[in-house]
Parts: sequence; structure tokens; C-alpha cells
Amino acid sequence: MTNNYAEKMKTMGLNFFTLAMVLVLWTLIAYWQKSPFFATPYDIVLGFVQMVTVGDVEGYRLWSHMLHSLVRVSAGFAAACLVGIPGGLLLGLYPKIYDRTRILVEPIRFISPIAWIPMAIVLLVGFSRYIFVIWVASFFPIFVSTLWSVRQVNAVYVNVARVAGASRLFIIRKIIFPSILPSVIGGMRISLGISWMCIVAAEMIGGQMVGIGRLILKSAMVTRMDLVVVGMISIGFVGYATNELIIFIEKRIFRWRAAVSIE
Amino acid sequence: MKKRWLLFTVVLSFVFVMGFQPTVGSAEMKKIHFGYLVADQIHNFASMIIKEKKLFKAEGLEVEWGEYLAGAYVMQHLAAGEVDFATCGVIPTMITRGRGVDVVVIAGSNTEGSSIIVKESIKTVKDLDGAKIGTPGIGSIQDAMVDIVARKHNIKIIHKHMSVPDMPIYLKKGEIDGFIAWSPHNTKAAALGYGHILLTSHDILPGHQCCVLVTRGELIRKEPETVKKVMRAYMKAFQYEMASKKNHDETLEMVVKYTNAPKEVVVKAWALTPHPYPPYLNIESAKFQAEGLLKGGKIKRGVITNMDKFIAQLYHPYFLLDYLRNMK
Amino acid sequence: MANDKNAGSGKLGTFGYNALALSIFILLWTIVSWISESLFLPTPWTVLKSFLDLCTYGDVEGISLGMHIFKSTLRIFAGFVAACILGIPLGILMGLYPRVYDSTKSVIEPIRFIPPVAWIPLVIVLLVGFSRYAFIIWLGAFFPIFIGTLLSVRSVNPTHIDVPRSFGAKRLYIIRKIVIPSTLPDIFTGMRVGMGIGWDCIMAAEMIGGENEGLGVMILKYAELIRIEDIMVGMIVIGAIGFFINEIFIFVERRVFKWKEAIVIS
Repeated sequence: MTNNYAEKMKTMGLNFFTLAMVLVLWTLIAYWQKSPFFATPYDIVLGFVQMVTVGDVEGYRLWSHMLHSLVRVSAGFAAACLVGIPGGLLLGLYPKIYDRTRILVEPIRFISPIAWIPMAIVLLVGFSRYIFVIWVASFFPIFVSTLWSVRQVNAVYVNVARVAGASRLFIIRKIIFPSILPSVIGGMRISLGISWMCIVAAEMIGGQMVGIGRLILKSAMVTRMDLVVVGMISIGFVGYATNELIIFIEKRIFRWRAAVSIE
Repeated sequence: MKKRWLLFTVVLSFVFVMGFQPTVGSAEMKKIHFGYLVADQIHNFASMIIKEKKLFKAEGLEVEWGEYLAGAYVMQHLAAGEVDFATCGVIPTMITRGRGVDVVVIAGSNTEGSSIIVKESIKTVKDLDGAKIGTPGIGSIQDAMVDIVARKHNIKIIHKHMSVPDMPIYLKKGEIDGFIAWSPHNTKAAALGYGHILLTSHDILPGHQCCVLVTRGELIRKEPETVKKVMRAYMKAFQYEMASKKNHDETLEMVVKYTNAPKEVVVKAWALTPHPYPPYLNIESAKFQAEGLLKGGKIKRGVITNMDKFIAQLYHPYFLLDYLRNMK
Repeated sequence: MANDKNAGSGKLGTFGYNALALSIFILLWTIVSWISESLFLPTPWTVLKSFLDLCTYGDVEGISLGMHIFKSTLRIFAGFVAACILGIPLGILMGLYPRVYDSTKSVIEPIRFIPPVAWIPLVIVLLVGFSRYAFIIWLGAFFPIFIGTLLSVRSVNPTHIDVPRSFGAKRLYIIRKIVIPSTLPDIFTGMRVGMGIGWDCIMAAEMIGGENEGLGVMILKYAELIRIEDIMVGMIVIGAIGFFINEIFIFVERRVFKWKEAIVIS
């Protein structure tokens, strides 16, 4: 137990060391650049303090930018789950549909959410634009992982139940659903990461003052590089924390599974 | 059976995507959506004063402010029926009108106010031949200005589209030979010592229209009272700035706050950006600019058959004239 | 899997059904845009006409579609190669020495969640020219390749390593003859996913500006002119090329790694 604790402390110490190295490197680059377009770590700290205490030029503070972005991301992610999980389940049960409509579904994966923005702006309205742009990006991981896990459900289980006279619905509810759950949740985690990463793209849609992506885009327009970096770090940190949290929960719930991958 | 499923899926996904068709125009408007551009407070200072001094509230209007990265974004939102009023460039407005969207200019905002900044080795306009010039994008007024320079002096200028705040960096690194930007980005770069101002837009096309106040044609027909109120607030913002030296200074301070540019840069940039009062649209320049758009293929050929008619549909000065008449 | 019995005709059937699905989609699209009469929902035929115009006359600045495709592909390829060169060795290294990964995790992991678009202001200041594009694509493609390799190395069957070690095999020999071959399929999958994300990032990369060629640049240009039909051409071309490259990867995977029972598309 103590050994384990010492090990953890050591890992943490090394992590802090790496972080410190990055800071030193950053400072060196800042000195070498000497440009009004590159912020020193000190500027970034000041920018962070400003964002927390006073807020940006409109008076919106960091947490309120975060909150608005989180609401948008959650809505888009929820839409992705609502379409992706039943869709994946359906097409997993009827693989032929997927094989035969691949040509429609697959290419969409490679089209960046940013490319959808002009169309989203002129065809949709208000909040639905954010939902759509985030949905487009985060739909695929969750859809594909559901679809594949359905295909890989152990055929023996299904056949045994079928021989015993179970109905189709029963098989889906009692056998397929529980056995795909870990992959579905894994897919959801990846989707959530991607939806969070789309926030800057989604917030290129104008008309709103708040949002962490908006903060980055706007600060870049007025050359406040410190605030750009504050925004980047905030996004990275929130994404990382959420991901770790879900991994932790996954490990708790699905202890019976040998390994939970981190990708 | 299988085919039916297939059809079902396709229809379902289609319905999902198309389910969010815009709901254009509510019968009764209480709240207006007013759009403006980020860091463009020198050109469109009126929207900034309206916002800071809460002039819409004085007119009994509730407003939702929308901030946009470029005029093209404003126009896309306007085409979707979301933006009711906005201040932005006349070029994106004309391009959008050329696409068949019912967007109407109800007043001007500023004239000129852009400059071409070049590296030291370029001394005359003729040196621009073959030079790479950064412009804010194909649909911007600045891009059109570069075309005008090239045509006037019969030289070839290579356009490079980029975000305006990045232009000084590209110039410093030698990736471009110069750039054209709006105030205060032009004087800001000159103050940094990255280049010098070769031409102001006054040199290129004296008194040319730059930014305008726009609305949807539908609002003029259905909600003239609202348009009147907006016009009143807009004019009061102009009058506020002109009223005294103190007010003018206060305006400059606001610009400093919103654009994050030093005071002396803002003062210089302001001097390059006239705001004629009363803010009529410069029709001659608008025609010239629209012809440039046609030549450059930015408005498709065949869309404008009669230029006078196009401008008459674009510019609707009734509310401005009405305000001026009632003032006397 | 039901098609395995008569794979030949089954393949053709799948192909035929895909064509059918595509035509139904185009038909629906035509009907919807016809009914909606929206200026911004062009019919497939308008889009086709724009495509032909872009091929023959080029875009509004006279740059042909082929040039746009070439430039974007070049950028993606450069970023992708950089991601492979860095991601695979680093993944193997950190997989073999988990301590290295654990002690740099606090720096590496949050970077994964910073969107490529957010990097643009920094990239413009720090890098120059072509390297900017390569960097943004690299950012997107690096993590799937790196993490795919890393996890795969960690999950190499310990028996396969212990046996030669007890016979006195050298570390390098074990890496070359055991670790790399058994991680190869996963590395390849990581590469495919990385390539897909690289295509996803091309829009972000081409928002950098300063270049007038590239599919993303083309889309941005036409977004300013609100010409949805030309934007759609750009999107369809990006989707089609991404799809095509992905299919090639899957085909190669199925051929080369036949011994692996299932290849997961993710």
C-alpha cells in the first residue's frame, strides 16, 4: 500500500516536472519571439486572472463562457447519442442496410464540421445550428462503435436464447443490450471528446457573445494572445478532466471486463 | 422488406437534417437582433455608441446584440432571417443582394477607412506589380479595392486571403509584400514598424462607400415603425459623437476598449475614416463597386441587367430622409 | 456475413444497392430542394453544373478544382507522414516504457482536447508557410496513431516476450521480431483513423490563410459569396476522397492482416 502511494507521488512529481519544463520552454520561445503576437506565461496568468475576476471586454467571465459552451456541447452530444445508439443498434442488427447504404453514410465522416457551417447558418436557425454542427462531428464514433459491438455479440448467446424460444425483443433487451453496453459507453466517451473539440468550429457561427470558442476567435481578432491561450488551456483541461472522469466510472462499472482502452 | 428499411433510413435521416428549416419573420416584433463586426468599432462607431449608451432602450426597443467575425457571416445570418439590422461593409451586402436575398441598405456608416500597408522596399504604386497583397477575403470591400488599384494602374497584384490581425505577422515574415486592412489594423501595423502606408482608400477611390446600416426588405414592409426607431437611435449615436470634443474623446476611449489598440493608433485611424453626416449612401461609388464585383465574377454575370435598378432596390433612404425631415 | 456463401454475386449486389441508395438520395434531395424553393438548397443538378464549371473554368479566381484537390492532398499527406514518423516510434517507446508516458501525461493528454482551429493564431506566429498546414494536420492525425501504437504495444502477449528472453534474446531482437509484427495491425488501423482525422482537419488547416488554393480555401471563398452549390461541390469532393482513401486502407488491411479475425472500423 505504502509502496503504491510512493509510486503515485513519484508519477505526480514527474508530471509536475514535465509541466515545469514546458513552461520554461514556453518562456524561452516568448523571449526569442519578442512579438506582440505571442504571450509569455506571465501574460497568460494575468489574462487568466482577468478572465476570472473581471471578464472580457463585454464583462463575461471565464465560467460563463464555459457554461454556454458546455450547454451547446451537451445538446449536440445528446443529439448524437439519440441518433447514434438506436441507429447503430438497428444497422448492427440488419448489417445489410449498413453495407448497402455505406456510400451515403461514410463520406460524411470526412467532411469537417467547419465545412458545414455556411449551410448550417443559412438553412437552420438559432440554437439548432450548434446542435447540428456538433452532432455532425460526434455522431460517427458513437454510431460506429455501437454498430460494431452489435455485430460482435457472441452468436452462441443469441442462438441459445433463440432455441429456448425467446422473442426478438427479449434477445435485444437481455442479451444484446448488456453485452454492447461497454463499447457503447466507450464510443460515447470518444464522441464527447470530439464534440468538445468542435466547440471552436461551432462557435464560428456568429451572433452570440459568449462561449469559450467565441473567446478564442474574438481574442485572436483583437490580438489578445494571452486570452487565446487561456481559452485553449481551459478547453484542453476540461476535455481531459471529463475524459478521465468517464474512464474512472467505466472502470468501476465494467470491472468484469479485462481491459478498458483509453482511446 | 429490406428495401423498405433502406428507404425508411434514408427518409428518416433526411427528415432529421431538414427538420430545422428556418422560421422566417414573426408577425409582431418586439425584440430586434442587431449584428456588428468584431473590432470594427472605428467604421461602425454608431452601433458601439448605441450599445454603450443604451439608445435602443430609449426608443423602447429590446435588442439582442450579435457579434460576427466578418461581413459574410452577418449576411449568411441575415439570409437565414435571424439578423434584423446590422452594420457591415457595402460589398458583402451587394454580393448578398446579387444572390437574390432581400437585403436593403437604409443608411451609410463611413466612407474610406482602409489602407494598403507595404514593406519598405515598395515605394510607388507601380512597385506593386506582381506583389503579394494580403486581403481579408474574397467577399470583402478591401479585396475589391485591390482589384480597383490593379485595374487603374494596369498591373497584376496577387491576392492572399487571410485574417486581418494576422496580416502584420505575414508581412514581417516576408510571406506577403503588403496588405490592405481596415482601421485600426492599418495604423496599428504602421505603428509596429512592420511597414508603411502606401495608399489610403482615399487615394484609391475618393469618398467611396465602406460600411452601411442594413436590414431585411421584409422589415421595411411589415415593421416600418421598428425601422424608424432603429434609424432614430442610429442618428442619435452620430449626433452624440459630434456634440462635443468630450463626447468625441469618450468615443475614442470606447474604441480603444473594444479594439485593444493604443490610443494614438486609434486617433490616427479615425483621421483616415470619415463619417459623413447625414449618412447618405454614396451612390456613385456603390455603382462603381457593384460593377467591379460583376467584372470579378463575385456577382454572377446576368444577375444585374440594369445597374440603376439594382442600386434603387438596394438603397432605401426613406427612413433616413424621414428622420431628417422631422428633425427640422 | 450472410453473403459469404456466394461472395461474388453478393459483392455485386452490395454495390448495386449502394448505387440504388445513392439514386434514391439524389431523388429525395431534388424533391426537397424543389419543394422548399430555398435559395440556399440547390438541386443536385445545380451542384453538378457548379462542379463542371469549377472543373472547366476554375473558381472565382480562375483556380481549377484539380489544383485545389492537389494542394489539399499534398498538405494532408505531409501532415500524415509527419504523424506516422513521430507517432509510431513514440508509441512503441512509451508502450515499452510506460513510466515515460505516465510522467508526461499531464502535458500530452490535455493537448489532445485542444481543437486544431484554436491553434491557428499560435501556428501563424511560430511557423512559416507550408509547415503551418502540416502542423495542423499532424495535430489531428498524431493522436490516433500514437495511442493506437501505445496501447497495442502494452497489450502484446507477455508470453511471446518472456519465451525468447529466457532463451537470451536481446531487447532489440524482441522489439524487431516480436513487438513490431504483433502491433502492426493496430498501427495500421491507427494510421487509417489518423488519415480520416487528417481529412477532417483540412478545413481547420486551410483557415490559416495566405494561400488561395485548397479545397478548404475554396469552401471558405464561396462561403463569403454565399454560393451554397459551390460549397457543396467542395464538401462532396472532400467526402469522396476521404471515403476512397479509407476504403483502400480497409482493403489493404483485409488483405495483409487476414490472420486477424476481425478488423474493427472506427
